[in-house]
Amino acid sequence: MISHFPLRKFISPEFVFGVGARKLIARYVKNLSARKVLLITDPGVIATGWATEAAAELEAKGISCITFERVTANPRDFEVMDGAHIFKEAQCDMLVAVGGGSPMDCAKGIGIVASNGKHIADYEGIDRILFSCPPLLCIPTTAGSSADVSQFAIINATDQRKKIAIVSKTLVPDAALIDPETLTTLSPELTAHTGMDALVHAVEAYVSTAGSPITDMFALESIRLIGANLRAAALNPSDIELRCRTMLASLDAGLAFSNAGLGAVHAMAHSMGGLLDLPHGECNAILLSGVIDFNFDTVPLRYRNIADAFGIDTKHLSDASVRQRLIDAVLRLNADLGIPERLSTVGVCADDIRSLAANALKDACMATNPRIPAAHEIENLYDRLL
Amino acid sequence: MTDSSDRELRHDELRDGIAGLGEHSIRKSYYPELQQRIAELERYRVLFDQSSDMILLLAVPSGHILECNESACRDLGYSRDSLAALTIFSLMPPSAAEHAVRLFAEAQESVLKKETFVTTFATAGSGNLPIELSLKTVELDQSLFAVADARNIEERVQAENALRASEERYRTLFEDSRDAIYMSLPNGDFIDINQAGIELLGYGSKNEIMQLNMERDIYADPTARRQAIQRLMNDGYLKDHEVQLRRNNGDYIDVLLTSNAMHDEQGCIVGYRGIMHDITGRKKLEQQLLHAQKMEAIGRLTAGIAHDFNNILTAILGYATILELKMTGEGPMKQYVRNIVASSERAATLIKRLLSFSRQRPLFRTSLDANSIVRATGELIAEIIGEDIALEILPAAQPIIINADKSQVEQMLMNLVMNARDAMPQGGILRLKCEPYLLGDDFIQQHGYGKPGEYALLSVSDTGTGMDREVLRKLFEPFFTTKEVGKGTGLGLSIVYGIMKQHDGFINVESSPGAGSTFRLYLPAFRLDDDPATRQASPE
Repeated sequence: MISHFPLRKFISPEFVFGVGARKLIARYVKNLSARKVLLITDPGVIATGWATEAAAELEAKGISCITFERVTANPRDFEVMDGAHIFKEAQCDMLVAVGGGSPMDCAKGIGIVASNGKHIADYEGIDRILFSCPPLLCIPTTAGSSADVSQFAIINATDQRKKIAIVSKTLVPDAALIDPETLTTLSPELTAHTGMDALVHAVEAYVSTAGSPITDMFALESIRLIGANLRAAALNPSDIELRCRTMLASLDAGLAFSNAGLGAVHAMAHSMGGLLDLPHGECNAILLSGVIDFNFDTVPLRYRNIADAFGIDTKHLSDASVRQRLIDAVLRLNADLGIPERLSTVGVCADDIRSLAANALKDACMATNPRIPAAHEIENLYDRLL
Repeated sequence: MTDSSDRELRHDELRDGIAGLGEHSIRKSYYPELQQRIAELERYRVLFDQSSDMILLLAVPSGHILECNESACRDLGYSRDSLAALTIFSLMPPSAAEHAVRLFAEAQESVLKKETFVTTFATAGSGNLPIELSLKTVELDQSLFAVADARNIEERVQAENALRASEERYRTLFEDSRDAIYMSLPNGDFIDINQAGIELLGYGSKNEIMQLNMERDIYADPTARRQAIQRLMNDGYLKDHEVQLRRNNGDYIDVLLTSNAMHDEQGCIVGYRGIMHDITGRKKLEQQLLHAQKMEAIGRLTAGIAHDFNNILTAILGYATILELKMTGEGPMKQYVRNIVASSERAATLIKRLLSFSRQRPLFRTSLDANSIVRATGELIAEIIGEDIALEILPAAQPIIINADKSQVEQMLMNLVMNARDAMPQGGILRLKCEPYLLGDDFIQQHGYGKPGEYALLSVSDTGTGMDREVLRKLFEPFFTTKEVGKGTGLGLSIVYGIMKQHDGFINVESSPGAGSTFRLYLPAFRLDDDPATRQASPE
């Protein structure tokens, strides 16, 4: 690297952070001149009542609203196409996503197809979207995916059995209403998975080759907040103060990784989600320690800063010690959150490794990993964590 | 190593892409798309404005003009803004506006519909533009609107008006012509005929004539039509072709026919059109003139011969008389001489008659009552007509004074009465009548001669054999007779004709075979308040 200040861009959506932010939904819809909203959510969020509350709020303000809830975890391409069809048929002119990563990514997919017309899989890759999507307002109900601030949409291409990454600055939503109160209905398990997802976002953004001093700031702050609060938040779901901290951690991580990109953990987790339809956050959590180990020597100073932020006193420690302490801390956090240590526990077989590695190598996230792995190195990584 | 540096290059590119440093990376913006859409709208706007039709977008049911194209502004003479302040109804005449209001009201309740009708739009310059207006309701954003497409049909209307005026002109030419103009099918059925034609043929209405066939009902001689068509085919037209037609009342009229054929696109004859010029009156006059000239010629000839003959007869009679006186005693010779004298006297009487026909004998006129002549003649003839003939003498109720030669008028009546008697060998009724008659224009028009005024009408009617047209035509010619050789001289009616001419009167006859005959003598009468002396003094 010739300069410590390479060309970097930073884009963030307009967002309102704080308890009660979600209640501004009608104001935002009206300010964006929308007349008919397609509200994208999923059955889990419906169960918590947040989606119903949002729809009711819109109706109360005289805005007609259609709820689309046929969205699964790891949203499918056909779900996107169905939603886009409904959007067109019902002559909707705005998308509101209420939920975690799945409804938000699905909403982005629907927007892409609604504006650009072709099949969602045709937009895989970077900067492939010609026309901006309809206005998109996100109300996240998890503290992890950060799809509400990110330029990514990850869609499960069912016929290819892989997750495709659609990357474009135009996918950054028009506005996000980030309300920590929505986290109070989040289960300890989902709190754990999404919290670890946020941590991986922050770590990978910090060591990404596309990072910048701005994204570093958000990444380290996110790591610090998660290290200090995630355990407690998982144990005390209704503690609004803790929920605010983890929500802020997720937001920071999102701002970091949306602009800096990710790395090998996400590449490998996407591959697992596509092939085996495994929970994204859990995969990330299991893979993180292995990837730290693999990358550490390429950017030891970066990992030392991560360890510091994570609450490890690295003064006077050798790089090797820092590496070990950091890996141990991650494993210990996983264990405390009830996340399994081995991939086999979540259903990965030795036979899957070859194709998992092949897909992971092709994943866009791999491009910003500090150390570019060969296929066999990825296979080794999966193998060691099996 | 090349492989790995390639890979690094690809990774660098991907990294820059994710960092948002790609050529096309920009945060979400609708502006590029907006510009593209604006360009599209501009193209539509051009389409909209360049349409030569006036196109308006209207609110339903208020009819307010929401949008309009340039053609609307141009043709109506309004700016876009001032047009947008109006309703479409305010541009239309009241009846059309009511119709449109009703359409809009219906459109709100039922299916979308399209309706096209012709009306006018008021222009800013307070003119009226004829238009063909199509109204169609459309739904936009769940609201109902109407699109009005108004086509300027000013030129079309002008052309139609010009055509109508032209048709009107030709229709007038057709209807107002004093000559009969008609069109007929090849078979002779009428297609059309003008008022003059209806009158010429003596019908009350066009409808009556439209039921007729020219060949069957109109031509006096059906073959004449076929001959006329043949001639038309040969020459390509018919010009002043003389034909005789039959009127509704059975009268015959003579017309000059100018005609040509009507063809369809394939050149087949689909009918004929013609102009008929009535020459009946003219023909009558011509015939009258011809007759008068003939009579005049015969009269002069007869007069010349009669004078010479009279001189010769005077010599024969004189010497025969002397011879008779010189012969003494009776004997066959004396009888021969007496026969010569008698024959000569008969010849002299004949000559007198001839001279009378040729008007060479002066009249001894006196003022007398025509009734008295009729009475006197009636008494005279009562004895000479057979018992199987009933005699009716019908004098007028009042005296009718005429200025005439009494003996000549009696002579005329005697001639006519004798003819009447001869026409009734099986018996019948002989009527001798005298009546006043006012001769007017209708008489002149009907007969082709005459002079307006008051007349004594003396008529001699019989119920006898009557005469055909051929006989009637030659009736007054000298030496024409229908009687056996030796029975008549053929001079009787010629003398009557001559006497009437000398009295400035007229004679005509009405007769047909089996229906008897009526001779009418019209002698100029003095009006009762006229001074006969004045009348006599006036130059004849």
